[in-house]
Amino acid sequence: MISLPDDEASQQALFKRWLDLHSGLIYKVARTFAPDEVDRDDLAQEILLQLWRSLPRFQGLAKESTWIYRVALNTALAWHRGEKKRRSTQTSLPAIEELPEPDDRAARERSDQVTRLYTAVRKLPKVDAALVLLYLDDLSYREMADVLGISETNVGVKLNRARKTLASLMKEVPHE
Amino acid sequence: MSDEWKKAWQSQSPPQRLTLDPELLLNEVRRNERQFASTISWRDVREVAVSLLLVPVWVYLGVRQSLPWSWYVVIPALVWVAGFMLVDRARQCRHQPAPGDDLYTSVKKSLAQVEHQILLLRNIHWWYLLPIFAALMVWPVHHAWNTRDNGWLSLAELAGMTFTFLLVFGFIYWLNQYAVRKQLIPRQQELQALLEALAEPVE
Repeated sequence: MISLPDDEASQQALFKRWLDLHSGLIYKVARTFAPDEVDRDDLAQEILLQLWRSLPRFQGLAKESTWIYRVALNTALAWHRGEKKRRSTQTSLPAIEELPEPDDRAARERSDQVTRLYTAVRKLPKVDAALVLLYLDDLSYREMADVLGISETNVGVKLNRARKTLASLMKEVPHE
Repeated sequence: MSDEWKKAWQSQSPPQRLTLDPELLLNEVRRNERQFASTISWRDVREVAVSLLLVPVWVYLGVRQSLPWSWYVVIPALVWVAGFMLVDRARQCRHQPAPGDDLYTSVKKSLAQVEHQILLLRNIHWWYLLPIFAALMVWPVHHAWNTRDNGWLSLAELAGMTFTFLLVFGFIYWLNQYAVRKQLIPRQQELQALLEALAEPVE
Protein backbone atom coordinates (compact mmCIF):
# COMPACT_ATOMS: atom_id res chain seq x y z
CA MET A 1 0.00 0.00 0.00
CA ILE A 2 1.48 3.36 -1.03
CA SER A 3 1.20 6.21 1.44
CA LEU A 4 0.59 9.42 -0.50
CA PRO A 5 2.90 12.35 0.29
CA ASP A 6 0.35 14.72 1.82
CA ASP A 7 2.70 16.31 4.36
CA GLU A 8 6.38 17.14 4.79
CA ALA A 9 7.23 14.08 6.89
CA SER A 10 5.61 11.59 4.55
CA GLN A 11 7.25 13.27 1.56
CA GLN A 12 10.63 12.84 3.20
CA ALA A 13 9.89 9.22 4.04
CA LEU A 14 8.77 8.51 0.48
CA PHE A 15 11.83 10.22 -0.97
CA LYS A 16 14.14 8.14 1.22
CA ARG A 17 12.27 5.03 0.23
CA TRP A 18 12.68 5.86 -3.46
CA LEU A 19 16.39 6.37 -2.93
CA ASP A 20 16.71 3.04 -1.16
CA LEU A 21 14.72 1.09 -3.72
CA HIS A 22 15.36 2.86 -7.02
CA SER A 23 18.81 4.47 -6.88
CA GLY A 24 20.03 1.90 -9.41
CA LEU A 25 17.48 3.19 -11.89
CA ILE A 26 18.70 6.78 -11.48
CA TYR A 27 22.28 5.61 -11.86
CA LYS A 28 21.46 3.80 -15.11
CA VAL A 29 19.71 6.82 -16.63
CA ALA A 30 22.56 9.12 -15.57
CA ARG A 31 25.20 6.77 -16.96
CA THR A 32 23.33 6.36 -20.24
CA PHE A 33 22.81 10.04 -20.94
CA ALA A 34 26.06 11.35 -19.41
CA PRO A 35 29.07 9.23 -20.31
CA ASP A 36 31.52 11.51 -18.53
CA GLU A 37 31.80 10.98 -14.73
CA VAL A 38 31.49 14.66 -13.77
CA ASP A 39 28.44 15.06 -16.00
CA ARG A 40 27.01 11.86 -14.54
CA ASP A 41 27.15 13.30 -11.02
CA ASP A 42 25.61 16.53 -12.25
CA LEU A 43 22.80 14.73 -14.04
CA ALA A 44 22.14 12.43 -11.05
CA GLN A 45 21.84 15.52 -8.84
CA GLU A 46 19.47 17.15 -11.28
CA ILE A 47 17.32 14.00 -11.37
CA LEU A 48 17.22 13.88 -7.56
CA LEU A 49 16.20 17.53 -7.43
CA GLN A 50 13.41 17.00 -9.96
CA LEU A 51 12.34 13.88 -8.10
CA TRP A 52 12.02 15.88 -4.90
CA ARG A 53 10.04 18.55 -6.74
CA SER A 54 7.76 15.89 -8.22
CA LEU A 55 6.78 14.49 -4.80
CA PRO A 56 3.70 16.68 -4.21
CA ARG A 57 2.35 15.63 -7.61
CA PHE A 58 2.80 11.92 -7.01
CA GLN A 59 -0.70 10.51 -6.55
CA GLY A 60 0.18 6.85 -6.30
CA LEU A 61 -1.74 6.16 -9.52
CA ALA A 62 1.41 5.24 -11.43
CA LYS A 63 3.87 2.66 -10.16
CA GLU A 64 6.74 4.25 -8.26
CA SER A 65 9.31 2.97 -10.74
CA THR A 66 7.24 4.31 -13.66
CA TRP A 67 7.03 7.72 -12.00
CA ILE A 68 10.77 7.79 -11.26
CA TYR A 69 11.57 6.74 -14.82
CA ARG A 70 9.40 9.59 -16.13
CA VAL A 71 11.15 12.16 -13.97
CA ALA A 72 14.61 10.72 -14.67
CA LEU A 73 14.16 10.50 -18.45
CA ASN A 74 12.53 13.93 -18.74
CA THR A 75 15.40 15.39 -16.77
CA ALA A 76 18.03 13.50 -18.75
CA LEU A 77 16.61 14.61 -22.08
CA ALA A 78 16.25 18.22 -20.94
CA TRP A 79 19.73 18.14 -19.40
CA HIS A 80 21.06 16.73 -22.61
CA ARG A 81 19.62 19.70 -24.46
CA GLY A 82 22.34 21.79 -22.81
CA GLU A 83 20.61 23.07 -19.70
CA LYS A 84 23.58 22.57 -17.40
CA LYS A 85 22.81 25.81 -15.64
CA ARG A 86 22.86 24.48 -12.09
CA ARG A 87 26.42 23.22 -12.09
CA SER A 88 28.01 26.63 -12.30
CA THR A 89 26.04 28.10 -9.42
CA GLN A 90 25.61 25.29 -6.95
CA THR A 91 27.78 23.06 -4.86
CA SER A 92 28.52 19.59 -6.09
CA LEU A 93 26.97 16.71 -4.26
CA PRO A 94 28.90 13.46 -4.60
CA ALA A 95 25.89 11.42 -5.60
CA ILE A 96 27.37 8.41 -7.33
CA GLU A 97 29.81 6.00 -5.82
CA GLU A 98 31.24 3.21 -7.91
CA LEU A 99 31.67 0.15 -5.74
CA PRO A 100 34.25 -2.50 -6.68
CA GLU A 101 32.92 -5.43 -8.70
CA PRO A 102 33.56 -8.95 -7.38
CA ASP A 103 36.75 -10.14 -9.02
CA ASP A 104 35.67 -13.35 -10.69
CA ARG A 105 35.46 -14.29 -14.35
CA ALA A 106 31.67 -14.25 -14.54
CA ALA A 107 31.47 -10.80 -12.94
CA ARG A 108 34.15 -9.45 -15.27
CA GLU A 109 32.31 -10.79 -18.31
CA ARG A 110 29.07 -9.30 -17.05
CA SER A 111 30.72 -5.96 -16.40
CA ASP A 112 32.23 -6.01 -19.91
CA GLN A 113 28.82 -6.72 -21.40
CA VAL A 114 27.23 -3.90 -19.40
CA THR A 115 29.94 -1.45 -20.52
CA ARG A 116 29.40 -2.49 -24.14
CA LEU A 117 25.64 -2.10 -23.70
CA TYR A 118 26.08 1.45 -22.40
CA THR A 119 28.37 2.29 -25.33
CA ALA A 120 25.84 0.91 -27.82
CA VAL A 121 22.80 2.50 -26.17
CA ARG A 122 24.50 5.92 -26.19
CA LYS A 123 24.82 5.66 -29.96
CA LEU A 124 21.05 5.27 -30.38
CA PRO A 125 18.77 8.26 -30.97
CA LYS A 126 17.58 9.67 -27.63
CA VAL A 127 14.06 8.28 -27.69
CA ASP A 128 15.32 4.84 -28.76
CA ALA A 129 17.91 4.96 -25.97
CA ALA A 130 15.18 5.73 -23.44
CA LEU A 131 13.07 2.90 -24.79
CA VAL A 132 15.92 0.38 -24.70
CA LEU A 133 16.72 1.43 -21.15
CA LEU A 134 13.16 0.57 -20.11
CA TYR A 135 13.29 -2.66 -22.08
CA LEU A 136 16.54 -3.79 -20.47
CA ASP A 137 15.02 -3.13 -17.06
CA ASP A 138 12.19 -5.45 -18.03
CA LEU A 139 9.30 -2.99 -17.99
CA SER A 140 6.12 -4.17 -19.68
CA TYR A 141 4.82 -2.48 -22.85
CA ARG A 142 2.10 -0.87 -20.74
CA GLU A 143 4.68 0.61 -18.35
CA MET A 144 6.89 1.81 -21.21
CA ALA A 145 3.86 3.46 -22.79
CA ASP A 146 3.08 5.17 -19.46
CA VAL A 147 6.61 6.52 -19.12
CA LEU A 148 6.81 7.79 -22.69
CA GLY A 149 3.20 8.89 -23.10
CA ILE A 150 2.66 6.91 -26.31
CA SER A 151 0.52 3.90 -27.24
CA GLU A 152 1.57 0.31 -26.61
CA THR A 153 1.47 -0.35 -30.35
CA ASN A 154 3.83 2.53 -30.90
CA VAL A 155 6.10 1.14 -28.18
CA GLY A 156 6.14 -2.22 -29.96
CA VAL A 157 7.04 -0.72 -33.33
CA LYS A 158 9.74 1.55 -31.98
CA LEU A 159 11.20 -1.05 -29.64
CA ASN A 160 11.46 -3.59 -32.40
CA ARG A 161 13.40 -1.13 -34.53
CA ALA A 162 15.56 0.02 -31.61
CA ARG A 163 16.47 -3.56 -30.65
CA LYS A 164 17.57 -4.32 -34.19
CA THR A 165 19.76 -1.21 -34.22
CA LEU A 166 21.13 -2.11 -30.78
CA ALA A 167 22.02 -5.60 -31.95
CA SER A 168 23.99 -4.27 -34.88
CA LEU A 169 25.66 -1.65 -32.70
CA MET A 170 26.67 -4.31 -30.17
CA LYS A 171 28.51 -6.15 -32.95
CA GLU A 172 30.54 -3.01 -33.61
CA VAL A 173 31.45 -2.35 -29.96
CA PRO A 174 34.70 -4.15 -29.11
CA HIS A 175 35.17 -6.24 -25.96
CA GLU A 176 37.42 -4.72 -23.31
CA MET B 1 20.85 -12.71 -26.87
CA SER B 2 18.59 -9.95 -25.54
CA ASP B 3 17.77 -12.07 -22.46
CA GLU B 4 21.49 -12.21 -21.79
CA TRP B 5 21.70 -8.42 -22.12
CA LYS B 6 18.77 -7.99 -19.77
CA LYS B 7 20.39 -10.26 -17.17
CA ALA B 8 23.68 -8.40 -17.38
CA TRP B 9 21.92 -5.03 -17.29
CA GLN B 10 19.82 -5.86 -14.27
CA SER B 11 22.76 -7.32 -12.41
CA GLN B 12 24.50 -3.94 -12.22
CA SER B 13 22.24 -2.35 -9.61
CA PRO B 14 23.94 -3.50 -6.40
CA PRO B 15 27.58 -2.84 -7.32
CA GLN B 16 27.07 0.57 -8.93
CA ARG B 17 24.57 2.88 -7.32
CA LEU B 18 23.83 6.09 -5.49
CA THR B 19 25.26 5.57 -2.04
CA LEU B 20 24.70 8.71 -0.04
CA ASP B 21 23.21 9.01 3.39
CA PRO B 22 19.57 9.81 2.51
CA GLU B 23 19.33 12.40 5.30
CA LEU B 24 22.35 14.28 3.97
CA LEU B 25 21.11 14.01 0.42
CA LEU B 26 17.66 15.23 1.36
CA ASN B 27 19.06 18.34 3.05
CA GLU B 28 21.28 19.10 0.08
CA VAL B 29 18.52 18.57 -2.46
CA ARG B 30 16.13 20.80 -0.53
CA ARG B 31 18.77 23.51 -0.19
CA ASN B 32 19.47 23.32 -3.93
CA GLU B 33 15.78 23.50 -4.66
CA ARG B 34 15.36 26.69 -2.64
CA GLN B 35 18.33 28.27 -4.45
CA PHE B 36 16.98 27.19 -7.82
CA ALA B 37 13.51 28.58 -7.13
CA SER B 38 14.88 31.90 -5.90
CA THR B 39 17.14 32.22 -8.96
CA ILE B 40 14.17 31.75 -11.29
CA SER B 41 11.85 34.13 -9.48
CA TRP B 42 14.62 36.76 -9.15
CA ARG B 43 15.18 36.67 -12.91
CA ASP B 44 11.46 37.26 -13.52
CA VAL B 45 11.18 40.02 -10.94
CA ARG B 46 14.33 41.79 -12.19
CA GLU B 47 13.09 42.21 -15.77
CA VAL B 48 9.74 43.65 -14.73
CA ALA B 49 11.25 45.73 -11.91
CA VAL B 50 13.59 47.56 -14.31
CA SER B 51 10.59 48.85 -16.28
CA LEU B 52 8.62 49.80 -13.17
CA LEU B 53 11.58 51.42 -11.39
CA LEU B 54 12.10 53.70 -14.36
CA VAL B 55 8.67 55.26 -13.74
CA PRO B 56 9.59 57.17 -10.51
CA VAL B 57 12.98 58.05 -12.02
CA TRP B 58 11.21 59.50 -15.05
CA VAL B 59 8.74 61.44 -12.89
CA TYR B 60 11.59 62.76 -10.69
CA LEU B 61 13.57 63.99 -13.72
CA GLY B 62 10.47 65.59 -15.23
CA VAL B 63 9.47 67.43 -12.04
CA ARG B 64 13.05 68.50 -11.23
CA GLN B 65 13.59 70.05 -14.65
CA SER B 66 9.99 71.27 -15.06
CA LEU B 67 9.58 69.37 -18.29
CA PRO B 68 6.32 69.54 -20.31
CA TRP B 69 3.60 66.86 -20.63
CA SER B 70 5.39 65.24 -23.57
CA TRP B 71 8.11 64.01 -21.20
CA TYR B 72 5.59 61.87 -19.27
CA VAL B 73 4.26 59.98 -22.31
CA VAL B 74 6.98 57.38 -21.67
CA ILE B 75 5.34 56.33 -18.38
CA PRO B 76 2.31 54.54 -19.89
CA ALA B 77 4.68 52.81 -22.31
CA LEU B 78 6.84 51.53 -19.43
CA VAL B 79 3.75 50.36 -17.53
CA TRP B 80 2.49 48.64 -20.70
CA VAL B 81 5.78 46.74 -21.14
CA ALA B 82 5.93 45.67 -17.46
CA GLY B 83 2.27 44.64 -17.54
CA PHE B 84 2.72 42.71 -20.77
CA MET B 85 5.69 40.81 -19.30
CA LEU B 86 3.84 40.04 -16.07
CA VAL B 87 0.72 38.75 -17.81
CA ASP B 88 2.78 36.72 -20.26
CA ARG B 89 4.86 35.13 -17.48
CA ALA B 90 1.75 34.30 -15.47
CA ARG B 91 0.13 32.66 -18.51
CA GLN B 92 3.26 30.72 -19.43
CA CYS B 93 3.80 29.46 -15.86
CA ARG B 94 0.59 27.46 -16.16
CA HIS B 95 1.91 25.60 -19.21
CA GLN B 96 5.31 24.66 -17.81
CA PRO B 97 6.28 20.99 -17.98
CA ALA B 98 5.99 19.41 -14.54
CA PRO B 99 8.22 16.70 -13.11
CA GLY B 100 6.28 13.48 -13.45
CA ASP B 101 4.75 14.33 -16.84
CA ASP B 102 5.22 11.56 -19.36
CA LEU B 103 7.93 12.16 -21.94
CA TYR B 104 5.59 13.08 -24.79
CA THR B 105 3.66 15.63 -22.71
CA SER B 106 6.86 17.09 -21.32
CA VAL B 107 8.46 17.51 -24.76
CA LYS B 108 5.24 18.97 -26.16
CA LYS B 109 4.98 21.53 -23.36
CA SER B 110 8.67 22.45 -23.67
CA LEU B 111 8.27 22.91 -27.42
CA ALA B 112 5.23 25.13 -26.91
CA GLN B 113 7.23 27.24 -24.47
CA VAL B 114 10.19 27.61 -26.82
CA GLU B 115 7.88 28.49 -29.72
CA HIS B 116 6.15 31.09 -27.60
CA GLN B 117 9.52 32.57 -26.65
CA ILE B 118 10.52 32.70 -30.33
CA LEU B 119 7.24 34.43 -31.21
CA LEU B 120 7.76 36.92 -28.40
CA LEU B 121 11.30 37.82 -29.40
CA ARG B 122 10.58 37.93 -33.12
CA ASN B 123 7.80 40.41 -32.40
CA ILE B 124 9.70 42.38 -29.79
CA HIS B 125 9.40 45.47 -31.98
CA TRP B 126 5.61 45.44 -31.58
CA TRP B 127 5.23 45.00 -27.83
CA TYR B 128 8.48 46.49 -26.52
CA LEU B 129 10.63 48.50 -28.93
CA LEU B 130 7.98 50.44 -30.86
CA PRO B 131 5.85 51.57 -27.86
CA ILE B 132 8.95 52.73 -25.93
CA PHE B 133 10.57 54.30 -29.02
CA ALA B 134 7.40 56.13 -30.05
CA ALA B 135 6.84 57.37 -26.50
CA LEU B 136 10.47 58.44 -26.16
CA MET B 137 10.28 60.41 -29.41
CA VAL B 138 7.28 62.52 -28.33
CA TRP B 139 9.36 64.78 -26.07
CA PRO B 140 12.19 65.50 -28.58
CA VAL B 141 9.62 66.26 -31.30
CA HIS B 142 7.64 68.50 -28.96
CA HIS B 143 10.86 70.20 -27.84
CA ALA B 144 11.99 70.70 -31.46
CA TRP B 145 8.60 72.23 -32.28
CA ASN B 146 8.78 74.60 -29.32
CA THR B 147 12.31 75.69 -30.26
CA ARG B 148 11.65 75.85 -34.00
CA ASP B 149 12.78 79.47 -34.00
CA ASN B 150 16.34 78.16 -33.61
CA GLY B 151 16.01 76.77 -37.12
CA TRP B 152 18.56 74.14 -38.13
CA LEU B 153 19.90 73.75 -34.59
CA SER B 154 16.66 72.32 -33.17
CA LEU B 155 16.30 70.10 -36.24
CA ALA B 156 19.87 68.82 -35.77
CA GLU B 157 19.11 68.11 -32.09
CA LEU B 158 16.05 66.11 -33.07
CA ALA B 159 17.95 64.22 -35.75
CA GLY B 160 20.75 63.41 -33.27
CA MET B 161 18.34 62.04 -30.67
CA THR B 162 16.40 60.06 -33.27
CA PHE B 163 19.61 58.54 -34.60
CA THR B 164 20.81 57.62 -31.07
CA PHE B 165 17.50 55.99 -30.14
CA LEU B 166 17.40 54.12 -33.46
CA LEU B 167 20.91 52.85 -32.84
CA VAL B 168 20.11 51.65 -29.29
CA PHE B 169 16.79 50.07 -30.24
CA GLY B 170 18.31 48.53 -33.35
CA PHE B 171 20.98 46.93 -31.20
CA ILE B 172 18.39 45.55 -28.76
CA TYR B 173 16.44 44.13 -31.72
CA TRP B 174 19.57 42.54 -33.19
CA LEU B 175 20.53 41.06 -29.80
CA ASN B 176 17.12 39.42 -29.45
CA GLN B 177 17.12 38.04 -32.99
CA TYR B 178 20.61 36.69 -32.35
CA ALA B 179 19.31 34.86 -29.25
CA VAL B 180 16.47 33.41 -31.35
CA ARG B 181 18.90 32.16 -34.02
CA LYS B 182 21.64 30.86 -31.73
CA GLN B 183 19.66 29.47 -28.79
CA LEU B 184 15.97 29.10 -29.41
CA ILE B 185 15.86 27.77 -32.98
CA PRO B 186 18.37 24.93 -32.30
CA ARG B 187 16.40 24.02 -29.18
CA GLN B 188 13.13 24.11 -31.09
CA GLN B 189 14.60 21.81 -33.75
CA GLU B 190 15.85 19.40 -31.11
CA LEU B 191 12.46 19.27 -29.39
CA GLN B 192 10.69 18.82 -32.73
CA ALA B 193 12.99 15.90 -33.51
CA LEU B 194 12.18 14.33 -30.13
CA LEU B 195 8.47 14.80 -30.69
CA GLU B 196 8.69 13.26 -34.15
CA ALA B 197 10.61 10.31 -32.70
CA LEU B 198 7.75 9.76 -30.25
CA ALA B 199 5.00 10.16 -32.84
CA GLU B 200 2.73 7.28 -33.82
CA PRO B 201 4.01 5.42 -36.91
CA VAL B 202 2.20 6.29 -40.13
CA GLU B 203 0.52 3.31 -41.75
